[in-house]
Amino acid sequence: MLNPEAPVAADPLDAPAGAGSPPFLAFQDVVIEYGRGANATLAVDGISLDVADGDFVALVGPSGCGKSTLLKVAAGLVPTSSGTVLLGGETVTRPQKNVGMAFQSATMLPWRTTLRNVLLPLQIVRPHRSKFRREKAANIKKAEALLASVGLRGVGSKYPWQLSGGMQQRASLCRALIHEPEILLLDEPFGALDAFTREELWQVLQQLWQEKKPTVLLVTHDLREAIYLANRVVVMSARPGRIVHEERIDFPRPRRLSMMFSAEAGAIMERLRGKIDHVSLFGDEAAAGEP
Amino acid sequence: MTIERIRPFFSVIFAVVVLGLWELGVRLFNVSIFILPAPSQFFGSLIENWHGIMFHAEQTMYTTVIGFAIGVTLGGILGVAAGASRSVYQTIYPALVGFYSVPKVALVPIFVIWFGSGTVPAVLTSAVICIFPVMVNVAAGVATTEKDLEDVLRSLGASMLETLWYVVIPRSAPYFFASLKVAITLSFVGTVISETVAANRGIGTMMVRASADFDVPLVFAGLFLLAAMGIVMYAFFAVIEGRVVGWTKRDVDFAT
Repeated sequence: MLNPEAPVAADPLDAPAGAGSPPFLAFQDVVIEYGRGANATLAVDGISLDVADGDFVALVGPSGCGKSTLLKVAAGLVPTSSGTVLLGGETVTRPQKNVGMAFQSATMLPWRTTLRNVLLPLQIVRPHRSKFRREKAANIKKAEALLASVGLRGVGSKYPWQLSGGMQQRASLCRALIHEPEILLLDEPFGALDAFTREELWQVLQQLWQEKKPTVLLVTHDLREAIYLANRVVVMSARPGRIVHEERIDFPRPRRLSMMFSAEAGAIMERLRGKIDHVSLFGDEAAAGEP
Repeated sequence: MTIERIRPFFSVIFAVVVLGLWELGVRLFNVSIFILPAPSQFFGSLIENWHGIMFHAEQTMYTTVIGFAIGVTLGGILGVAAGASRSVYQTIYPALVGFYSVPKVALVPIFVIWFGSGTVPAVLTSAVICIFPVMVNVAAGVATTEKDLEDVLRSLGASMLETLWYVVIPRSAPYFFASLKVAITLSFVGTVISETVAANRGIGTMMVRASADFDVPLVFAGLFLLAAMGIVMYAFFAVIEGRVVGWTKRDVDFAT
Protein backbone atom coordinates (compact mmCIF):
# COMPACT_ATOMS: atom_id res chain seq x y z
CA MET A 1 0.00 0.00 0.00
CA LEU A 2 1.53 3.24 -1.12
CA ASN A 3 1.01 6.43 0.71
CA PRO A 4 -1.71 7.97 -1.47
CA GLU A 5 -0.38 11.46 -0.91
CA ALA A 6 3.17 10.59 -1.90
CA PRO A 7 4.25 12.30 -5.07
CA VAL A 8 4.19 9.94 -8.01
CA ALA A 9 7.50 9.49 -9.73
CA ALA A 10 7.93 10.21 -13.40
CA ASP A 11 9.07 6.65 -13.96
CA PRO A 12 6.11 4.75 -15.47
CA LEU A 13 7.36 1.55 -13.87
CA ASP A 14 6.75 3.02 -10.46
CA ALA A 15 4.23 0.62 -9.01
CA PRO A 16 4.20 -1.31 -5.74
CA ALA A 17 6.09 -4.56 -6.14
CA GLY A 18 4.19 -7.76 -5.57
CA ALA A 19 0.86 -5.98 -5.79
CA GLY A 20 -1.88 -8.52 -5.37
CA SER A 21 -0.04 -10.97 -3.11
CA PRO A 22 -0.06 -10.17 0.61
CA PRO A 23 3.11 -8.31 1.67
CA PHE A 24 5.66 -10.15 3.75
CA LEU A 25 6.44 -7.10 5.85
CA ALA A 26 3.85 -4.39 6.33
CA PHE A 27 4.00 -1.16 8.28
CA GLN A 28 0.48 0.13 8.92
CA ASP A 29 0.17 3.76 10.07
CA VAL A 30 3.18 3.37 12.30
CA VAL A 31 3.76 6.25 14.71
CA ILE A 32 6.76 6.30 17.02
CA GLU A 33 7.18 8.80 19.82
CA TYR A 34 10.05 9.12 22.25
CA GLY A 35 9.28 10.23 25.77
CA ARG A 36 5.90 10.98 27.26
CA GLY A 37 3.57 13.90 27.73
CA ALA A 38 4.87 17.37 26.94
CA ASN A 39 8.38 16.13 26.30
CA ALA A 40 7.33 13.58 23.70
CA THR A 41 9.20 13.79 20.42
CA LEU A 42 7.51 12.50 17.32
CA ALA A 43 10.13 10.42 15.51
CA VAL A 44 8.05 8.67 12.89
CA ASP A 45 4.61 9.88 11.85
CA GLY A 46 2.18 7.56 10.11
CA ILE A 47 4.37 5.33 8.00
CA SER A 48 2.62 2.78 5.82
CA LEU A 49 4.84 0.60 3.70
CA ASP A 50 4.49 -2.87 2.23
CA VAL A 51 7.44 -5.06 1.37
CA ALA A 52 6.71 -8.09 -0.79
CA ASP A 53 8.28 -11.47 -0.16
CA GLY A 54 11.76 -11.57 -1.69
CA ASP A 55 11.80 -7.88 -2.47
CA PHE A 56 14.73 -5.57 -1.82
CA VAL A 57 13.62 -2.21 -0.46
CA ALA A 58 15.90 0.65 0.53
CA LEU A 59 14.79 3.31 2.97
CA VAL A 60 16.63 6.59 2.53
CA GLY A 61 16.30 9.93 4.24
CA PRO A 62 18.19 12.61 6.12
CA SER A 63 19.77 11.59 9.41
CA GLY A 64 17.38 11.64 12.32
CA CYS A 65 14.35 10.90 10.15
CA GLY A 66 13.59 7.76 12.09
CA LYS A 67 14.54 5.25 9.42
CA SER A 68 16.74 3.24 11.77
CA THR A 69 14.01 3.33 14.39
CA LEU A 70 11.59 1.96 11.83
CA LEU A 71 13.96 -0.91 11.22
CA LYS A 72 14.19 -1.60 14.93
CA VAL A 73 10.42 -1.62 15.08
CA ALA A 74 10.36 -4.24 12.33
CA ALA A 75 12.90 -6.25 14.31
CA GLY A 76 10.69 -6.07 17.38
CA LEU A 77 13.37 -4.20 19.35
CA VAL A 78 11.34 -0.99 19.68
CA PRO A 79 7.55 -0.83 20.19
CA THR A 80 5.32 1.38 18.05
CA SER A 81 3.40 4.18 19.73
CA SER A 82 0.48 3.42 17.46
CA GLY A 83 -0.05 1.44 14.30
CA THR A 84 1.10 -2.10 13.64
CA VAL A 85 3.89 -3.96 11.91
CA LEU A 86 3.05 -7.28 10.33
CA LEU A 87 5.73 -9.81 9.50
CA GLY A 88 4.59 -12.89 7.62
CA GLY A 89 1.02 -12.01 8.55
CA GLU A 90 1.68 -11.76 12.27
CA THR A 91 1.89 -8.64 14.39
CA VAL A 92 5.42 -7.91 15.55
CA THR A 93 5.49 -7.30 19.29
CA ARG A 94 8.87 -8.78 20.11
CA PRO A 95 11.99 -10.02 18.26
CA GLN A 96 11.26 -12.69 15.69
CA LYS A 97 13.25 -15.80 14.90
CA ASN A 98 13.15 -15.45 11.12
CA VAL A 99 14.94 -12.11 11.11
CA GLY A 100 18.59 -11.47 10.34
CA MET A 101 19.97 -8.11 11.32
CA ALA A 102 23.17 -6.19 10.58
CA PHE A 103 24.12 -2.86 12.10
CA GLN A 104 26.23 0.12 11.20
CA SER A 105 29.07 -1.14 13.34
CA ALA A 106 29.91 -4.78 12.79
CA THR A 107 29.00 -5.54 16.44
CA MET A 108 31.14 -8.65 16.54
CA LEU A 109 31.57 -10.07 20.02
CA PRO A 110 35.30 -9.48 20.61
CA TRP A 111 35.76 -12.53 22.83
CA ARG A 112 34.55 -14.89 20.13
CA THR A 113 36.47 -15.89 17.04
CA THR A 114 34.95 -14.85 13.73
CA LEU A 115 33.61 -18.34 13.20
CA ARG A 116 31.98 -18.46 16.63
CA ASN A 117 30.51 -15.01 16.00
CA VAL A 118 28.92 -16.26 12.81
CA LEU A 119 27.61 -19.34 14.63
CA LEU A 120 25.99 -17.26 17.36
CA PRO A 121 22.45 -17.16 15.89
CA LEU A 122 22.43 -20.95 15.67
CA GLN A 123 22.98 -21.07 19.42
CA ILE A 124 20.06 -18.75 20.09
CA VAL A 125 17.40 -19.11 17.41
CA ARG A 126 14.87 -21.93 17.51
CA PRO A 127 14.86 -24.60 16.19
CA HIS A 128 18.63 -24.51 15.54
CA ARG A 129 19.60 -24.05 19.18
CA SER A 130 18.35 -27.44 20.35
CA LYS A 131 20.55 -29.27 17.84
CA PHE A 132 23.51 -26.90 17.90
CA ARG A 133 25.82 -29.33 19.67
CA ARG A 134 24.66 -32.38 17.77
CA GLU A 135 25.16 -30.74 14.40
CA LYS A 136 28.27 -28.83 15.32
CA ALA A 137 30.37 -30.16 12.45
CA ALA A 138 27.67 -29.37 9.90
CA ASN A 139 27.15 -25.93 11.41
CA ILE A 140 30.84 -25.11 11.24
CA LYS A 141 30.95 -26.28 7.63
CA LYS A 142 27.99 -24.08 6.81
CA ALA A 143 29.54 -21.06 8.52
CA GLU A 144 32.83 -21.60 6.76
CA ALA A 145 31.09 -21.89 3.39
CA LEU A 146 29.23 -18.66 4.10
CA LEU A 147 32.45 -16.91 5.11
CA ALA A 148 34.11 -18.16 1.93
CA SER A 149 31.20 -16.83 -0.14
CA VAL A 150 31.91 -13.29 1.10
CA GLY A 151 35.65 -13.65 0.53
CA LEU A 152 36.61 -14.58 4.08
CA ARG A 153 37.95 -18.06 3.48
CA GLY A 154 40.14 -19.26 6.33
CA VAL A 155 39.69 -16.31 8.69
CA GLY A 156 37.21 -18.14 10.95
CA SER A 157 39.79 -18.72 13.66
CA LYS A 158 40.78 -15.05 13.78
CA TYR A 159 39.33 -12.68 16.33
CA PRO A 160 37.25 -9.77 15.02
CA TRP A 161 39.82 -7.22 16.15
CA GLN A 162 42.34 -8.91 13.91
CA LEU A 163 40.18 -8.14 10.87
CA SER A 164 39.75 -4.89 8.98
CA GLY A 165 36.47 -2.99 9.24
CA GLY A 166 35.34 -4.29 5.86
CA MET A 167 36.11 -7.88 6.79
CA GLN A 168 34.23 -7.50 10.07
CA GLN A 169 31.23 -6.15 8.21
CA ARG A 170 31.33 -9.12 5.83
CA ALA A 171 31.41 -11.45 8.80
CA SER A 172 28.48 -9.57 10.28
CA LEU A 173 26.52 -10.20 7.07
CA CYS A 174 27.32 -13.90 7.44
CA ARG A 175 26.03 -13.79 10.99
CA ALA A 176 22.82 -12.18 9.79
CA LEU A 177 22.37 -14.97 7.23
CA ILE A 178 23.54 -18.14 8.98
CA HIS A 179 20.13 -19.10 10.36
CA GLU A 180 18.57 -18.59 6.92
CA PRO A 181 16.23 -15.79 7.93
CA GLU A 182 13.34 -14.92 5.67
CA ILE A 183 14.02 -11.23 6.09
CA LEU A 184 17.21 -9.23 6.38
CA LEU A 185 17.08 -5.91 8.21
CA LEU A 186 20.19 -3.89 7.42
CA ASP A 187 20.83 -0.69 9.34
CA GLU A 188 23.41 1.30 7.36
CA PRO A 189 25.67 -1.74 7.34
CA PHE A 190 28.30 -0.10 5.13
CA GLY A 191 28.09 3.39 6.59
CA ALA A 192 31.37 3.19 8.44
CA LEU A 193 33.42 1.87 5.52
CA ASP A 194 35.53 3.61 2.91
CA ALA A 195 34.05 4.09 -0.56
CA PHE A 196 35.91 1.25 -2.27
CA THR A 197 35.18 -1.31 0.41
CA ARG A 198 31.58 -0.21 0.41
CA GLU A 199 31.22 -0.77 -3.33
CA GLU A 200 32.81 -4.17 -2.99
CA LEU A 201 30.34 -5.11 -0.29
CA TRP A 202 27.41 -3.92 -2.39
CA GLN A 203 28.41 -6.57 -4.88
CA VAL A 204 28.75 -9.15 -2.13
CA LEU A 205 25.31 -8.30 -0.78
CA GLN A 206 23.71 -8.35 -4.21
CA GLN A 207 25.17 -11.77 -4.85
CA LEU A 208 23.96 -13.10 -1.50
CA TRP A 209 20.51 -11.72 -2.17
CA GLN A 210 20.37 -13.26 -5.65
CA GLU A 211 21.41 -16.63 -4.28
CA LYS A 212 19.12 -16.81 -1.28
CA LYS A 213 16.38 -14.33 -2.17
CA PRO A 214 15.55 -13.14 1.34
CA THR A 215 13.32 -10.11 1.74
CA VAL A 216 15.61 -7.17 2.46
CA LEU A 217 14.90 -3.84 4.08
CA LEU A 218 17.99 -1.68 3.88
CA VAL A 219 18.30 1.61 5.72
CA THR A 220 20.91 3.93 4.26
CA HIS A 221 21.72 7.57 3.69
CA ASP A 222 23.73 6.73 0.59
CA LEU A 223 21.56 7.19 -2.51
CA ARG A 224 24.01 5.38 -4.75
CA GLU A 225 23.89 2.40 -2.43
CA ALA A 226 20.09 2.42 -2.50
CA ILE A 227 19.96 2.65 -6.30
CA TYR A 228 22.60 -0.01 -6.84
CA LEU A 229 21.07 -2.54 -4.47
CA ALA A 230 17.33 -2.05 -4.19
CA ASN A 231 14.26 -2.80 -6.29
CA ARG A 232 12.44 0.02 -4.59
CA VAL A 233 13.78 3.14 -2.96
CA VAL A 234 11.56 4.79 -0.37
CA VAL A 235 12.39 8.37 0.63
CA MET A 236 11.57 9.62 4.11
CA SER A 237 11.29 13.23 5.23
CA ALA A 238 13.20 14.82 8.07
CA ARG A 239 11.82 14.30 11.56
CA PRO A 240 9.06 13.48 12.03
CA GLY A 241 9.68 10.83 9.40
CA ARG A 242 7.04 10.42 6.71
CA ILE A 243 7.24 8.70 3.35
CA VAL A 244 7.43 11.39 0.69
CA HIS A 245 8.50 9.52 -2.39
CA GLU A 246 9.01 6.09 -3.80
CA GLU A 247 10.96 5.02 -6.81
CA ARG A 248 11.20 1.70 -8.56
CA ILE A 249 14.67 0.75 -9.78
CA ASP A 250 14.56 -1.65 -12.69
CA PHE A 251 18.12 -2.19 -13.79
CA PRO A 252 18.79 -5.82 -14.71
CA ARG A 253 20.72 -7.99 -12.30
CA PRO A 254 23.42 -8.69 -11.57
CA ARG A 255 24.02 -4.98 -11.60
CA ARG A 256 27.48 -3.68 -12.31
CA LEU A 257 29.13 -0.77 -10.64
CA SER A 258 29.53 0.85 -14.08
CA MET A 259 25.74 1.02 -14.17
CA MET A 260 25.98 3.76 -11.60
CA PHE A 261 27.58 6.04 -14.19
CA SER A 262 24.76 5.63 -16.71
CA ALA A 263 22.56 8.60 -17.55
CA GLU A 264 19.53 6.72 -16.27
CA ALA A 265 21.06 6.09 -12.87
CA GLY A 266 22.14 9.71 -12.79
CA ALA A 267 18.59 10.84 -13.49
CA ILE A 268 17.18 8.68 -10.72
CA MET A 269 19.83 9.91 -8.35
CA GLU A 270 19.02 13.51 -9.16
CA ARG A 271 15.32 12.94 -8.68
CA LEU A 272 15.83 11.27 -5.31
CA ARG A 273 18.31 13.91 -4.28
CA GLY A 274 15.74 16.56 -5.18
CA LYS A 275 13.14 14.93 -3.00
CA ILE A 276 15.46 14.88 -0.02
CA ASP A 277 16.50 18.50 -0.57
CA HIS A 278 12.91 19.53 -1.02
CA VAL A 279 11.91 17.78 2.14
CA SER A 280 14.63 19.19 4.30
CA LEU A 281 14.16 22.77 3.07
CA PHE A 282 10.38 22.83 3.05
CA GLY A 283 9.65 20.02 5.45
CA ASP A 284 6.72 21.79 7.12
CA GLU A 285 5.08 22.60 3.82
CA ALA A 286 5.32 19.02 2.67
CA ALA A 287 3.87 17.89 5.98
CA ALA A 288 0.97 20.33 5.71
CA GLY A 289 -0.04 18.69 2.45
CA GLU A 290 -0.61 15.34 4.15
CA PRO A 291 -3.81 14.27 5.86
CA MET B 1 71.76 -11.09 25.79
CA THR B 2 69.11 -8.56 24.85
CA ILE B 3 67.07 -6.53 27.27
CA GLU B 4 63.91 -8.29 26.02
CA ARG B 5 65.13 -11.61 27.31
CA ILE B 6 65.95 -10.48 30.81
CA ARG B 7 62.94 -8.20 31.23
CA PRO B 8 60.86 -10.92 32.92
CA PHE B 9 63.54 -11.16 35.61
CA PHE B 10 63.61 -7.44 36.37
CA SER B 11 61.16 -7.90 39.24
CA VAL B 12 63.30 -10.61 40.80
CA ILE B 13 66.45 -8.54 40.40
CA PHE B 14 64.66 -5.59 41.96
CA ALA B 15 63.58 -7.64 45.02
CA VAL B 16 67.09 -9.05 45.45
CA VAL B 17 68.65 -5.58 45.22
CA VAL B 18 66.21 -4.14 47.81
CA LEU B 19 66.83 -7.02 50.21
CA GLY B 20 70.59 -6.67 49.62
CA LEU B 21 70.55 -2.95 50.43
CA TRP B 22 68.43 -3.69 53.48
CA GLU B 23 70.95 -6.29 54.69
CA LEU B 24 73.81 -3.93 53.99
CA GLY B 25 72.13 -1.01 55.76
CA VAL B 26 71.30 -3.00 58.87
CA ARG B 27 74.86 -4.33 59.12
CA LEU B 28 76.49 -1.01 58.29
CA PHE B 29 74.53 0.99 60.86
CA ASN B 30 74.41 -1.86 63.32
CA VAL B 31 70.61 -1.67 63.71
CA SER B 32 69.23 -3.62 66.66
CA ILE B 33 67.47 -6.87 65.77
CA PHE B 34 64.55 -5.65 67.92
CA ILE B 35 64.04 -2.67 65.63
CA LEU B 36 64.71 -4.00 62.17
CA PRO B 37 66.10 -7.48 61.62
CA ALA B 38 68.22 -8.04 58.51
CA PRO B 39 66.80 -10.27 55.75
CA SER B 40 69.32 -12.94 56.66
CA GLN B 41 67.95 -12.92 60.20
CA PHE B 42 64.28 -13.28 59.35
CA PHE B 43 64.98 -15.77 56.58
CA GLY B 44 66.93 -17.69 59.19
CA SER B 45 63.94 -17.52 61.49
CA LEU B 46 61.69 -18.64 58.65
CA ILE B 47 63.80 -21.74 58.02
CA GLU B 48 64.33 -22.47 61.68
CA ASN B 49 60.62 -22.30 62.49
CA TRP B 50 59.46 -23.71 59.15
CA HIS B 51 57.10 -26.37 60.53
CA GLY B 52 55.54 -24.06 63.08
CA ILE B 53 55.10 -21.33 60.51
CA MET B 54 53.57 -23.68 57.97
CA PHE B 55 51.02 -24.76 60.57
CA HIS B 56 49.86 -21.14 60.74
CA ALA B 57 50.31 -20.40 57.04
CA GLU B 58 48.07 -23.29 56.06
CA GLN B 59 45.30 -21.90 58.22
CA THR B 60 45.69 -18.39 56.78
CA MET B 61 45.73 -19.64 53.21
CA TYR B 62 42.73 -21.90 53.71
CA THR B 63 40.72 -19.19 55.50
CA THR B 64 41.58 -16.59 52.90
CA VAL B 65 40.67 -18.76 49.95
CA ILE B 66 37.29 -19.70 51.41
CA GLY B 67 36.50 -16.12 52.41
CA PHE B 68 37.66 -14.89 49.01
CA ALA B 69 35.46 -17.42 47.22
CA ILE B 70 32.41 -16.37 49.25
CA GLY B 71 33.14 -12.67 48.82
CA VAL B 72 33.77 -12.92 45.09
CA THR B 73 30.60 -14.92 44.52
CA LEU B 74 28.47 -12.42 46.45
CA GLY B 75 30.27 -9.45 44.91
CA GLY B 76 29.81 -10.87 41.42
CA ILE B 77 26.09 -11.50 41.88
CA LEU B 78 25.51 -8.08 43.44
CA GLY B 79 27.59 -6.47 40.71
CA VAL B 80 25.57 -8.05 37.90
CA ALA B 81 22.33 -7.07 39.63
CA ALA B 82 23.45 -3.50 40.32
CA GLY B 83 24.88 -3.07 36.84
CA ALA B 84 21.85 -4.48 35.06
CA SER B 85 19.11 -2.80 37.07
CA ARG B 86 18.97 0.85 37.98
CA SER B 87 16.53 0.12 40.77
CA VAL B 88 18.82 -2.43 42.36
CA TYR B 89 21.74 -0.06 41.99
CA GLN B 90 19.95 2.83 43.65
CA THR B 91 18.53 0.62 46.38
CA ILE B 92 21.65 -1.17 47.56
CA TYR B 93 24.53 1.09 46.62
CA PRO B 94 24.33 3.66 49.42
CA ALA B 95 23.94 0.91 52.00
CA LEU B 96 26.93 -0.97 50.63
CA VAL B 97 29.09 2.14 50.50
CA GLY B 98 28.23 2.78 54.13
CA PHE B 99 28.94 -0.81 55.06
CA TYR B 100 32.23 -0.78 53.23
CA SER B 101 33.31 2.44 54.94
CA VAL B 102 33.22 0.69 58.33
CA PRO B 103 36.73 -0.45 59.24
CA LYS B 104 36.71 -4.23 58.95
CA VAL B 105 38.63 -4.61 62.19
CA ALA B 106 35.54 -3.19 63.92
CA LEU B 107 33.46 -6.06 62.57
CA VAL B 108 35.64 -8.81 63.98
CA PRO B 109 34.38 -8.52 67.60
CA ILE B 110 30.82 -8.82 66.30
CA PHE B 111 31.65 -11.93 64.29
CA VAL B 112 33.37 -13.33 67.39
CA ILE B 113 30.25 -12.71 69.49
CA TRP B 114 28.15 -14.51 66.89
CA PHE B 115 30.42 -17.36 65.88
CA GLY B 116 33.17 -17.61 68.50
CA SER B 117 36.83 -17.02 67.75
CA GLY B 118 38.88 -18.87 65.14
CA THR B 119 38.17 -19.75 61.55
CA VAL B 120 34.64 -18.44 61.04
CA PRO B 121 35.24 -14.75 61.87
CA ALA B 122 38.40 -14.83 59.77
CA VAL B 123 36.55 -16.29 56.79
CA LEU B 124 33.79 -13.72 57.17
CA THR B 125 36.16 -10.77 57.48
CA SER B 126 38.05 -11.97 54.45
CA ALA B 127 34.76 -12.35 52.52
CA VAL B 128 33.31 -9.00 53.57
CA ILE B 129 36.42 -7.10 52.60
CA CYS B 130 36.40 -8.31 49.01
CA ILE B 131 32.69 -8.08 48.19
CA PHE B 132 32.80 -4.39 47.45
CA PRO B 133 35.69 -4.09 44.98
CA VAL B 134 34.36 -7.07 43.01
CA MET B 135 30.85 -5.67 43.00
CA VAL B 136 31.88 -2.17 41.92
CA ASN B 137 33.98 -3.51 39.07
CA VAL B 138 31.43 -6.01 37.81
CA ALA B 139 28.68 -3.41 38.00
CA ALA B 140 30.82 -1.05 35.92
CA GLY B 141 31.42 -3.79 33.35
CA VAL B 142 27.75 -4.71 33.14
CA ALA B 143 26.57 -1.10 33.00
CA THR B 144 28.98 -0.19 30.20
CA THR B 145 28.08 -3.11 27.95
CA GLU B 146 27.39 -1.68 24.50
CA LYS B 147 23.69 -1.51 23.71
CA ASP B 148 24.53 -2.60 20.15
CA LEU B 149 25.93 -5.90 21.37
CA GLU B 150 22.82 -6.51 23.44
CA ASP B 151 20.68 -5.64 20.41
CA VAL B 152 22.46 -8.33 18.38
CA LEU B 153 21.25 -10.89 20.89
CA ARG B 154 17.83 -9.36 21.39
CA SER B 155 17.20 -9.21 17.65
CA LEU B 156 17.71 -12.98 17.59
CA GLY B 157 14.96 -13.35 20.17
CA ALA B 158 17.31 -14.11 23.06
CA SER B 159 15.82 -13.94 26.55
CA MET B 160 17.22 -11.60 29.19
CA LEU B 161 19.15 -14.46 30.78
CA GLU B 162 20.62 -15.48 27.43
CA THR B 163 21.68 -11.91 26.72
CA LEU B 164 23.30 -11.89 30.14
CA TRP B 165 25.08 -15.17 29.47
CA TYR B 166 26.23 -14.55 25.90
CA VAL B 167 27.04 -10.84 26.06
CA VAL B 168 26.90 -9.11 29.42
CA ILE B 169 28.91 -11.62 31.43
CA PRO B 170 31.72 -12.16 28.90
CA ARG B 171 31.84 -8.42 28.32
CA SER B 172 32.20 -7.85 32.08
CA ALA B 173 34.75 -10.62 32.57
CA PRO B 174 37.78 -8.31 32.19
CA TYR B 175 36.40 -6.05 34.93
CA PHE B 176 35.75 -9.08 37.08
CA PHE B 177 39.28 -10.42 36.70
CA ALA B 178 40.80 -7.03 37.36
CA SER B 179 38.84 -6.92 40.60
CA LEU B 180 39.94 -10.44 41.57
CA LYS B 181 43.54 -9.31 41.74
CA VAL B 182 42.59 -6.52 44.13
CA ALA B 183 40.21 -8.75 46.06
CA ILE B 184 42.68 -11.56 46.74
CA THR B 185 45.20 -9.21 48.30
CA LEU B 186 42.46 -7.57 50.38
CA SER B 187 41.28 -11.00 51.41
CA PHE B 188 44.62 -11.68 53.09
CA VAL B 189 44.24 -8.39 54.94
CA GLY B 190 40.81 -9.45 56.18
CA THR B 191 42.01 -12.82 57.37
CA VAL B 192 45.06 -11.48 59.15
CA ILE B 193 43.09 -8.70 60.86
CA SER B 194 40.70 -11.26 62.26
CA GLU B 195 43.52 -13.59 63.26
CA THR B 196 45.32 -10.86 65.16
CA VAL B 197 42.14 -10.12 67.14
CA ALA B 198 40.62 -13.49 67.83
CA ALA B 199 42.21 -16.77 66.81
CA ASN B 200 44.72 -19.31 68.02
CA ARG B 201 46.00 -20.30 64.63
CA GLY B 202 47.09 -18.36 61.56
CA ILE B 203 49.90 -16.04 60.52
CA GLY B 204 48.17 -13.10 62.23
CA THR B 205 48.05 -14.96 65.53
CA MET B 206 51.64 -16.05 65.12
CA MET B 207 52.81 -12.49 64.51
CA VAL B 208 50.96 -11.12 67.54
CA ARG B 209 52.49 -13.79 69.76
CA ALA B 210 55.95 -13.29 68.26
CA SER B 211 55.82 -9.56 68.88
CA ALA B 212 54.71 -10.19 72.47
CA ASP B 213 57.84 -12.37 72.81
CA PHE B 214 59.97 -9.66 71.12
CA ASP B 215 60.80 -12.25 68.47
CA VAL B 216 61.03 -9.55 65.79
CA PRO B 217 62.67 -11.77 63.14
CA LEU B 218 59.65 -14.10 63.38
CA VAL B 219 57.27 -11.12 62.96
CA PHE B 220 59.15 -10.17 59.81
CA ALA B 221 59.18 -13.78 58.65
CA GLY B 222 55.38 -13.72 58.96
CA LEU B 223 55.18 -10.48 56.99
CA PHE B 224 57.42 -11.90 54.32
CA LEU B 225 55.32 -15.04 54.05
CA LEU B 226 52.12 -13.01 53.73
CA ALA B 227 53.70 -10.99 50.96
CA ALA B 228 54.80 -14.19 49.22
CA MET B 229 51.34 -15.76 49.48
CA GLY B 230 49.79 -12.55 48.14
CA ILE B 231 52.13 -12.51 45.17
CA VAL B 232 51.49 -16.18 44.40
CA MET B 233 47.71 -15.73 44.46
CA TYR B 234 47.90 -12.53 42.47
CA ALA B 235 50.04 -14.24 39.84
CA PHE B 236 47.64 -17.17 39.77
CA PHE B 237 44.70 -14.93 38.91
CA ALA B 238 46.78 -12.91 36.47
CA VAL B 239 47.54 -16.12 34.56
CA ILE B 240 43.88 -17.16 34.53
CA GLU B 241 42.95 -13.64 33.45
CA GLY B 242 45.34 -13.87 30.50
CA ARG B 243 43.84 -17.18 29.46
CA VAL B 244 40.22 -16.15 29.77
CA VAL B 245 40.10 -12.49 28.80
CA GLY B 246 43.23 -12.15 26.68
CA TRP B 247 41.00 -10.70 23.95
CA THR B 248 40.90 -7.40 25.81
CA LYS B 249 44.62 -6.95 25.30
CA ARG B 250 44.25 -7.55 21.57
CA ASP B 251 47.15 -9.86 22.19
CA VAL B 252 48.55 -11.77 19.25
CA ASP B 253 49.70 -14.57 21.56
CA PHE B 254 46.15 -15.07 22.78
CA ALA B 255 44.79 -15.56 19.28
CA THR B 256 47.29 -18.09 18.02
